[in-house]
Amino acid sequence: MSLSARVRIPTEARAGEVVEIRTLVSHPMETGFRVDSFGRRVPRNILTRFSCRYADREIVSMDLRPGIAANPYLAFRFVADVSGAIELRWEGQDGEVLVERGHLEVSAA
Amino acid sequence: MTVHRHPGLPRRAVIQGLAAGLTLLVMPRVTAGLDAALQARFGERRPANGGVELEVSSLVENGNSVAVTVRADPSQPAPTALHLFMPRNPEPWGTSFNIQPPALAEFSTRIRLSGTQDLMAVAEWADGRLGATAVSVMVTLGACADEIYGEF
Repeated sequence: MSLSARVRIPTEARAGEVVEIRTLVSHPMETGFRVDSFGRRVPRNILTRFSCRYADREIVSMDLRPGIAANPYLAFRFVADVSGAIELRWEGQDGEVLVERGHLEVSAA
Repeated sequence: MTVHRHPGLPRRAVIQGLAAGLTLLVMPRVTAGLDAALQARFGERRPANGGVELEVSSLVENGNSVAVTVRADPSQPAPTALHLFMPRNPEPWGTSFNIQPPALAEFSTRIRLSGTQDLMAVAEWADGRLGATAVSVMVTLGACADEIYGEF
């Protein structure tokens, strides 16, 4: 299954401004605890890790577990200090990877 | 069933309070599943009370997708990680969110809840200190209930 994400990455900010990244990935986050109507266990299929790099620094990483709802949503904030690339990366349990990129231009305060 | 009436606490006010999304702060209560999860994450360390805020509706109809926000207490130094535990879920460890400056110590996500339980958020500081807040969430329909039919 192909992964896809809807993300909101800020593109401009003043130095010191707090900006927010919001993400939503299409993924079932199948827990591995469910049983289908024939009594068979539905195998686990989850995204396991999220990370965000901003100006070559990993500022956020997250362990995703079965308790995260289907189509994982994540929002977080950071202080815009320098202009730089933003890279959002999700990794699945079977090695699948999804990357979304943006660029934040920071102007003097 | 006996109905207990508290003169100072009318039932309607209580229900309205719940409906308004008022969160009931409760003392972190450690269950067997939660204790194993805490052991796996923190070894022998156990959190003290406070240092982190947990925003979640106190009454949810569907446990499949419950919005939560975890935020470090702004009056304290920023922690390096925020953790979320759902003690009564099949797997109590919900997520861990690791923070490096300039990221702020807060995140919002959506979680699954198998039933009514006390969610626990834990902040972890660089010196190894832990702080926790628990919030009671009443779930009308747990995450594991309806999906079985929904998938068929």
